[in-house]
Amino acid sequence: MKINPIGFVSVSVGERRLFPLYLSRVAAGFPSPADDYLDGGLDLNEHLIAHPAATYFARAEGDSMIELGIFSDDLLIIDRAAQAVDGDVVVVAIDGLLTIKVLDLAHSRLLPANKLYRPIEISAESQVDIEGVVLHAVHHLRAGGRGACL
Amino acid sequence: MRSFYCSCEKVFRPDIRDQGVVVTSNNDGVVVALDDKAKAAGIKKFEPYFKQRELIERAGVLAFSSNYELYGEVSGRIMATLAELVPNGIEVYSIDECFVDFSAVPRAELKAFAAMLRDSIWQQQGIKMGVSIAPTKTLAKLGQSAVKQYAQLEGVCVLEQAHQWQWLGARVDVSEVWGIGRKLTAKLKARALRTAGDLALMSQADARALQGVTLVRTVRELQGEPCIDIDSQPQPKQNIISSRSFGQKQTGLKPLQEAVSHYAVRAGVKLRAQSSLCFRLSAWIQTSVHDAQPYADELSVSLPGGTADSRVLSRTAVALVAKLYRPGYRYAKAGVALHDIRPERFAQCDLLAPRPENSARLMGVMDGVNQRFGSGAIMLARQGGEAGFAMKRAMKSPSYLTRWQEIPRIRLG
Repeated sequence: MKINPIGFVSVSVGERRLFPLYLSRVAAGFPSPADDYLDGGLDLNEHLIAHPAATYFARAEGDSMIELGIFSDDLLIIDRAAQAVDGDVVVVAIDGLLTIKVLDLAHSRLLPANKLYRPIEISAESQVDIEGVVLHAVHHLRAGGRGACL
Repeated sequence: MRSFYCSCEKVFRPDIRDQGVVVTSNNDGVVVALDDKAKAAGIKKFEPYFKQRELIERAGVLAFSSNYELYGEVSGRIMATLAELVPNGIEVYSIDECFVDFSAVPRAELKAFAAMLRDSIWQQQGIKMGVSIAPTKTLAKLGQSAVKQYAQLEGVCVLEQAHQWQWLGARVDVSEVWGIGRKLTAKLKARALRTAGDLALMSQADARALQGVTLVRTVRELQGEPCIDIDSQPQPKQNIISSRSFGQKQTGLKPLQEAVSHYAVRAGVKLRAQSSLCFRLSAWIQTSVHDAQPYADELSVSLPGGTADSRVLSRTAVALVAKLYRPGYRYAKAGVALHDIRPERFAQCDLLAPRPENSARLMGVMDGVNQRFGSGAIMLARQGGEAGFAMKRAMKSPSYLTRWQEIPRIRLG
């Protein structure tokens, strides 16, 4: 079995932050009394992405992971700098094909999250590369599809 | 990074990682990048693609049109990752090369540190990077030849002592030395200086007589004496050029104007990214030099007070092209260049050329939206569509990292 783990080194690169926008114009008049209490905006990037330079997005296709809440067409946020550990949902390249499964190194297996699918045994000769840890699946709920929303 | 463009094509394609890959130029004219497997198949860099197409297909080598959106993004991510990992910042030298100051790393740890950098980039970016450490930039570049040549180095070459770079220098052709071009190579070889090691032994007086102080510097650097500093704070560019060949030859004025408008806007983005203003703009149009009736001309105009406003740049470029245009020619290429670039703080007030109102704010919004939704999300009406002048990139891979519509799709099963 050959498994190449990723993420010996954990770095944080160029975090994107929102700077506070002042509610009132600066030039004239009284400043808004609320200016002193600004927290700054909430940045979803900050919440969802630990390593911006090592993070990529992908679209899920298929139903083998629905019991963990990954549905077809969901947007996946994948971190290549995170250290993969047993139980993580990982992107793996198995013999040249990308897929997403739960890592079960203890039993040399990759587990689906759907009773209709069987675990994938990692044989001695197959080449398995971990291509990132799936940190989040963004599932859109609006009736009538995503529309302009990604 | 070796065969960087080819490696980028493989990041999201594990199915092709064992295959040879070539990348073609704008309009799929020539092969501009190839990996070892493609090279072994006899494919040549800078030779026309159509002439090599049969060979490429027969060898099972995959061809891609250049995907600069992807290469640029992967490069930016690699540089950002490196900059975080090293103590003193990096000097980005090109899309796939940078210099790093290792002086803060204890000598005994250099090799392990270099290997850690290489592993990190491989794991986080999916790109194999060669790391070469030496007392001078020129020797560090020389070390990259060793990384290429000797697989047993596993991508890391540390040149600490004179006997190490002398050994290597004797085995590297002088044409591979940093800063030695084709003409200079011929001159050096005429003097029986064939290898980097030969060049290192050249006397400073001879070097100065042949090519002036730049060659003296190269010689001294090859001897291990640092002469070229690492510049981790690059100077803003003095000129910005945006120019492309057209997908198809153009005969009318309007498509030429749309093209230069597009280039002017692209140049404007770069100008604003370095917080500068430009005080002169030039535009040119040309037919192919092989045309029965060739034509090429350029005009430039000064921009009083300086500007970084895409609307002004575009309007100016379009007006210049109207003056340059002659009917009856088949135009192959057009371009825009911004000159006399200075930092924003040198902005001058010009009563005769009032600045468009809210210019900085509007341009900020435009850049922001285009960064978020892909370049071209907001355009000036003058830029027209992407039709006639857009590049032919028939074999382009998806912009996996920069366009929502093109992010990788992963089959879960």
